[in-house]
Amino acid sequence: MFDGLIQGLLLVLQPESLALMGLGIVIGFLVGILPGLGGSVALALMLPFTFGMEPVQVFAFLLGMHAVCGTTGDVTSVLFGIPGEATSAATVLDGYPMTRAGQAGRALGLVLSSSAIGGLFGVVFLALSVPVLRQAVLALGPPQLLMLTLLGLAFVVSLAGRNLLKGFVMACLGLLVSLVGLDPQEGVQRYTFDWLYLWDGINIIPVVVGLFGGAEVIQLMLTKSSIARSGAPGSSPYRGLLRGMTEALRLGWLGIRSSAIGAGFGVVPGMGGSVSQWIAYGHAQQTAKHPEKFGRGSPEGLVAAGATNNAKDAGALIPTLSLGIPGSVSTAILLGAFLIAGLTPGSEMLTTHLDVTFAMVWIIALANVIAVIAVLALVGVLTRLTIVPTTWLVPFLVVLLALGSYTASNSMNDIIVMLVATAVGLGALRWDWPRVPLLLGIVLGGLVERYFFLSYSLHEWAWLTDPTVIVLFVLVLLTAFVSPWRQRRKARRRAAASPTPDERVPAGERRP
Amino acid sequence: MTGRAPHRVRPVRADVLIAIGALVAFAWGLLEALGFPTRAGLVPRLVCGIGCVLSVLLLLRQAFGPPGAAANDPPGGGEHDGGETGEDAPWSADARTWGRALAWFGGFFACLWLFGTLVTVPLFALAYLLVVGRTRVWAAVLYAAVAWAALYGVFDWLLRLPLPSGVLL
Repeated sequence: MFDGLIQGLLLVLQPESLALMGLGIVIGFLVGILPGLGGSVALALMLPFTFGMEPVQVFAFLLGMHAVCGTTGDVTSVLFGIPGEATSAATVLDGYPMTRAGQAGRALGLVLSSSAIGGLFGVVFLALSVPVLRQAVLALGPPQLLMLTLLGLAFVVSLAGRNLLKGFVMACLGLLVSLVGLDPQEGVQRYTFDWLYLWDGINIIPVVVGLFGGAEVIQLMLTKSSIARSGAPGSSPYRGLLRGMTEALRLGWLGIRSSAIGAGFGVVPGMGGSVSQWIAYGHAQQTAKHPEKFGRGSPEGLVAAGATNNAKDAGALIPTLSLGIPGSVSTAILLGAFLIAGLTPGSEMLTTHLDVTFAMVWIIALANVIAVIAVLALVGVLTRLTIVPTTWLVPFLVVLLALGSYTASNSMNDIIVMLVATAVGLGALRWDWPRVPLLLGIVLGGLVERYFFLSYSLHEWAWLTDPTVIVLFVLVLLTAFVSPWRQRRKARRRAAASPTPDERVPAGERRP
Repeated sequence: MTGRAPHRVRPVRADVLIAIGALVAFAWGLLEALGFPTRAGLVPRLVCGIGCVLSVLLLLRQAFGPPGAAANDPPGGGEHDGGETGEDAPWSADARTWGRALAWFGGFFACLWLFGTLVTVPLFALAYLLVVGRTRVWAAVLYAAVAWAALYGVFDWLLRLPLPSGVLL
């Protein structure tokens, strides 16, 4: 194994591989900064250019590009409140409020450092666990996957805290939206109003862009100030950056735990980062000393979101490499690259082509570090964008909204979906309804239905008595009900201990 | 933020209306699902049934719960959405400001639908900067030109990605 590790590094350090990785990183940086154009779009666009390349060169180019997209997606989430891709949505929650408070440098320092932690954790996880996890992945059946999906949903609903009931209603609305389209079991239309566009269901990208980005852009148009509303004028973003990096290191243990969640859930085919980011975020909130700060610029929230986002990519590679089962959309496209490079995923990647496997590990590690350094180098320019008057930013941001949603399936209908999601996002913000359960309901609805029917087809109702299913279901209930109850009790005690007028501001008045 | 009394009532009323809207949506979904074949309708019936129950519970909570139940909860969980909170929230903007913002926003997308990206983006940038931003003409023209060039260069020329094209052009 050690020989494979060294061989892999030597392959990556060849000038051609390094040059192609550099090119991939530059392209990934540019594409990742555009909302909607995530890593999977970049991979799909660049895949045809890899014909004729050596295997390691193919992955140096593609994985270098893909690894950077996650980091740059976090940048737009933090600075503009527009998630670069669906898996960056959790970063918006605490990154954007911090930017609005004039602490963009600190937010970037936190998210970039945790991204680096997550990326490096992911590659170590990948390197160590390839042979071991093969059996574990195969042991998970549809019933367990169904429970893991419900666990993700429960974590997100529990984030609603005192609005638990609203969180459940929003999650159900999300699930209802996810059911729109042709039913996978019978092929009948469900809730499509005989509209052809809806036959394929509602695409998640315009929903994310509208729910988070659209609502924020309208708020900017209303205020007409800069994104950063406070903060010492002329203060160096590098000081904030240093503070953020120090905080991220101080919260290193949380970063590692979140990375483990990201990598662990990344391993499970189909789960992807959309679930793991919220589980890590919920975990961070439940273990934080000040859970009330989540959603208002909590460093813990940013560390959890940043770390899990980068760790998940390495995790998703494990089933791709060892089983030939893609763990995410991006790895499904990468599977095409394997074929182009003349490689067969599976046991060969752990024996004959072990050097290529470890080369991939090195590429992800190097690309993550280079991406973080590149963004750090540009942090001065990037944070300056947040003090530009919004009248200058609005034309730029509405274009990003339009293109980010349109690129989902190159249809004007995607823009209509984005506009509806914008209205829903605005309403949710205005009247204090949580948006995240709605989003995750839409993301997970298809998975819930698929795993439910697979479980029933394979085991009828006997799967309900499976011990692992029961344990996971108890975990779901504990997550959904006990954790929020404990948080509320803790918060009430704290409020009772220090009943100052500011702390007693009723929830409804915090958003007049 | 102004006086407390109106704000204590408004969110609760909005919650009731939203809960009623959700209940209507779930009830409609349930009725539709009853017409689906068994396998296709099972999950929709479950989701809509649970949604109906939760919406009714929410309404009951608003009707019979302690006055301002949600409002009196400590700010310990609440909205974790990264949205605007506190005094900075832009909701206090008057109806005219809201109308203008929504008109610009809607206008951009209406133009996009009619004329496509490469016409709408520079025109919108120019108009928005001149009218709302009161920017100097040369700066607005430069911004619009750069926006057009960047869009054309990155999407059309470099990435060869299709841009939204208008129905009129």
